[in-house]
Amino acid sequence: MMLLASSLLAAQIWYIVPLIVSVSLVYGATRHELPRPILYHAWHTAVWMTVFMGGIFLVLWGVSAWL
Amino acid sequence: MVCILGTYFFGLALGEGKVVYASWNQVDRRWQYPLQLGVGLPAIPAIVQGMVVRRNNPPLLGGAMVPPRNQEELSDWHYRLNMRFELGTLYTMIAGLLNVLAIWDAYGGPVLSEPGKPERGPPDDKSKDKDKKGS
Repeated sequence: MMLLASSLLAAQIWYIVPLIVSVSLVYGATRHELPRPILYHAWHTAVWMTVFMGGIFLVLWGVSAWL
Repeated sequence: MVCILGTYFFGLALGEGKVVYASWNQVDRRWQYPLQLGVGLPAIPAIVQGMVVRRNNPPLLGGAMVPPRNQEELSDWHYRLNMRFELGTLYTMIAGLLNVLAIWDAYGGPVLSEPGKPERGPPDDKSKDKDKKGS
């Protein structure tokens, strides 16, 4: 658990936030033309990416804790 | 455009202007540069810098986007910038790829989602006629 906490608090993990924001906004903008649908789609994309990468993070964390 | 250029310049600043350079020789095969080039004009100075340095002229723009002269210099960048070199490369690459997506969107318009399943409801007139004929 300490490893998970230290990983979450590590500085480099927060570099993912601007990337998720910009990627989801640009992806949303390629699907819609109006601001509200773009933001709605971007929010869903951001949540999807966060959950997907969070899952990979947890798997890797589990493997590193097991090894 | 704000997102793409913001991502690109944030990555460039993270790497102190050294993560975007055009080099394809024994020292470094910079395969990331074609992806970074997708961002367009902001990545063009790297080509100019590469040409200037190859002709043994002093680099322009205070040495920004200059390819490494040898393996030791590249190793020094990695050592000094540490993870910021890789993060800057990643940011600028993603900015380039996002711009390709934006260019595609500008060319072809918004990408349409797949059509969903038809909604359930009363059958239309044609199907009613078929039922009557069948009975």
